[in-house]
Amino acid sequence: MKDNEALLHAVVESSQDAICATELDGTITLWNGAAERLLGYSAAETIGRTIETIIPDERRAVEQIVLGRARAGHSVEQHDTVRRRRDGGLVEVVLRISPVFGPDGALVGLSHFLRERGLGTLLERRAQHLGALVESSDDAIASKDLDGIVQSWNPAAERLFGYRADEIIGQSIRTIIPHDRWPEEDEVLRRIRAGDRVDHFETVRQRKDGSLVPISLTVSPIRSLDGRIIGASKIARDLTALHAYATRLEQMVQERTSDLQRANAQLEAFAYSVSHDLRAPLRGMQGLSQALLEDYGDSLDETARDYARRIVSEASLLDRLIQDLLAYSRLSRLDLTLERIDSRHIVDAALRQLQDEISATGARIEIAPDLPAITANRTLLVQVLTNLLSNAIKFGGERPLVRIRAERSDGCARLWVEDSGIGIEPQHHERIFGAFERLHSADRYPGTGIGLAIVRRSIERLGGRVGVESQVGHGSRFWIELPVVEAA
Amino acid sequence: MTTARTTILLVEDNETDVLLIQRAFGKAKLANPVHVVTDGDAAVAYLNGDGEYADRERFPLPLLILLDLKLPRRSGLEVLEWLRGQETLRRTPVVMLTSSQQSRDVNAAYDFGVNSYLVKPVEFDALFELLKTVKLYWIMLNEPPGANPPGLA
Repeated sequence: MKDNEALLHAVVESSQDAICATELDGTITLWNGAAERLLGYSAAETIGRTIETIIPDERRAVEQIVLGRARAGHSVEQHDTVRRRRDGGLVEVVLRISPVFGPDGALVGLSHFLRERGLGTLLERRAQHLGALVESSDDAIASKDLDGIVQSWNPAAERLFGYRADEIIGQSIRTIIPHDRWPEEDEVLRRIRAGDRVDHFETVRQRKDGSLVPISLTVSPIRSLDGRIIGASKIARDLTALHAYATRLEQMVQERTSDLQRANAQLEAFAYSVSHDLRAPLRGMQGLSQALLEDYGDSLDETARDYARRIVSEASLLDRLIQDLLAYSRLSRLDLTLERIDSRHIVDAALRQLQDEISATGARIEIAPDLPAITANRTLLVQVLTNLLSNAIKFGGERPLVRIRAERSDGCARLWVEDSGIGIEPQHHERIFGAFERLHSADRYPGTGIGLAIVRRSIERLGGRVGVESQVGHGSRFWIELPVVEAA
Repeated sequence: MTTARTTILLVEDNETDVLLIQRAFGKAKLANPVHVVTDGDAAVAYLNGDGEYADRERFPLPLLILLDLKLPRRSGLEVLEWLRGQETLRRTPVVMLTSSQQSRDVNAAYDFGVNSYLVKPVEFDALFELLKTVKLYWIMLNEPPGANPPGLA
């Protein structure tokens, strides 16, 4: 008998569960080590006191009912409740109460088995955490089964769509889908059943009050533990604010564009008026000076005739300057239409414009046979080549020899205009492309100094590059590089 | 039988341009008389025969009108528009002679029925070549229209 008691005692003491026993009125008669550890009271402190000690005030009523059942002889299984520790802190527990019967079969007391609730349910804690995430999210999160019946509906969904959770759970999701979008929903369900996500697709939903709201929707399949797809989770983001912002932005862009167009038109009108009004008196100056020379040249001495000649040539130069400046300024404002162009045609057009210079200098022009097709603006390119060829002839020395050839390299074509002329020192290679830059006096080599500036600006607008290789006395090789048209 | 017209009516407000144009015509050995009016209203008055212009001995109807665009009182386009609305005058050949090369001016002139559009060059030599060609083409080669429709003086 003694051994049996000792064994039982050892079993009770070694249990991980808190075990305590009470008489029917709740007086504690047994308190094991686990109970000491769980609740903080030692056996000496609790034995003889009432079980109420460890029951928090707010649970007293419930526990009375539970204890009442136990006193009536029923077991209490798996009762989730709360107990108070010695330090006042609360601990969540799972409680089992078994009635204790005496040898004559009469109820003599109760045994309580307590286990701390938190430990056993890592899953529960995780589920609680995830649940809190969904509840507190700003995005509308809902789930539905494969028939489209709403299973869950978070507070953000309530705010976004106007339906309370209890109004819409159990209803079809089509409640919030406008009729013309129902085929969309069919497609979404089809993809979900196939196991695919539907990512960020923009659509429209209908609120409880009938108003429409633009949303961005992401739908993912929900799988059961054994991997079957049992439903879909939907996350919806309200796009109203974004759309409003985009509309405002577009409005601003439109306003800016028309401002720009107006400014451009004004500039164009200004430039035109400048050219028109400046050239009229120029015409007068030039023509009258020439008339002076031609009609009264005989009564003028050589100096006077020289003065008159200079007036004539200055006026002509000024006119060319005005025209070049106009062309240069127009480059920034030009609406570029690009097309596929055979560069050979452009070269021919430029040469036609330079017929006089070519025959006057006896220039020889050699054109390579394989000039490529490029993407460019025809008018600009003719101007560019005319300027380059005019320079090549002008600075080409006696009987200039001008060579035109092409090179290709991934996606680009480079056109070379090479001359046999006086060449350019390396330190000037960059300067010459600036406006009004000249390396020689106008007497020796007539020109406005804007030709190469026009070349560079034009090619830049066409998305290309320009450059020069040259040394004094060894001619110059100008190149322009432009995108090449790939064969369709 | 009506006598063929020979006069050229030059409608130009810039005095220097008038001087240079006449000098160029002189160099081109143009024999035809050139009458000058310096604003749009005067051009209409001349063609209409208003006031002193009623004297067709002194101010004959022109064979060719050289018309500038920018004129005081009435613009060249307005003169052209008026002219093309006149029963007895609307066949008169009109050549625009102006500084403007703007496409909207060019197109407007053709819309109103101009026969030709020439841009005044700055250099005198170029102006001379231009007017020499005008003389050759419009005075010597071109077949002028018949005068008034039958029944009218």
